Amino acid sequence: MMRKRGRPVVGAISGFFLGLLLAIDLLLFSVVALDSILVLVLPILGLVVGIALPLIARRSAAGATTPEVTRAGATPPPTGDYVAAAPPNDEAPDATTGAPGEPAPSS
Amino acid sequence: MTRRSWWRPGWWRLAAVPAAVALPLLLSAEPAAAELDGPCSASGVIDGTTYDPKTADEFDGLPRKGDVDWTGSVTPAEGPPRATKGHVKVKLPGGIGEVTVGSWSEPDDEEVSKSDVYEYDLPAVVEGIPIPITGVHEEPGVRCEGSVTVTIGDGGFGNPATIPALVLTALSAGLLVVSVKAGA
Repeated sequence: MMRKRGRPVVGAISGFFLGLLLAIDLLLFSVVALDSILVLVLPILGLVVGIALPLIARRSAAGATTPEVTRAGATPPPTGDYVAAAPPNDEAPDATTGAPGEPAPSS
Repeated sequence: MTRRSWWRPGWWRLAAVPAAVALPLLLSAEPAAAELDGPCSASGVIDGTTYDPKTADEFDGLPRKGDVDWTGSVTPAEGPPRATKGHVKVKLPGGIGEVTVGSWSEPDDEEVSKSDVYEYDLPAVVEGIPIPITGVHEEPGVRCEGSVTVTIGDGGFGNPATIPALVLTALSAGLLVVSVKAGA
């Protein structure tokens, strides 16, 4: 079984510290003043981005696994690019056997 | 029907890194110039250099420790004597507040000018950080407001905290990438 991509909790922690440290770097290099709103915004932005990116990656990975599931005969039917990639026999279950993609028994 | 072609795994990860670096730079602004409003004057001399908010725009590269010969004066509207009060504050990170580093309040003040020598010794980790300082002096008919952003030393790699901060920044960025790719 394929594991889900993305770890939002780790992403939140690392994103928060990435934002905080970026703010510190900007301060140390005199890019922003100590009272700049960026010193507050960057850690919060990092936290949000750190949560969002793993969730997006997870969603993206879930979308990528869709064709394998549909080719195995499970619902829902394939959509998008995978419709064109699927063989014609996959479009509907065989009426005789009930299994998709299997040839009908000869009489 | 075609799946959204822009929704390819990886493109947003590539875009996120430069965006994360560029956004702060785009949003950042130059530290405010020094200014002093009202019938007041204030200045300090450090290592032979005079720092006056009415004549200087930048207070950069101040020594981390030393003596400052400071002087302040006001043209009173009444008296003397008259009631005077005022304060000097340092703004906190993110503008979440201020810390009062000095204040005065006298009900019968007869002086219109003061001067002294102040010895200071700041920690090395503040080097390079633009620190905003504000001051107010009030008395009947007079209100003076001043602000200045001082930067100690050259900052950058002269600050002992810079390299550890950059290393930790890189580690955090790496951990963020791992958190996105984890479980693949």
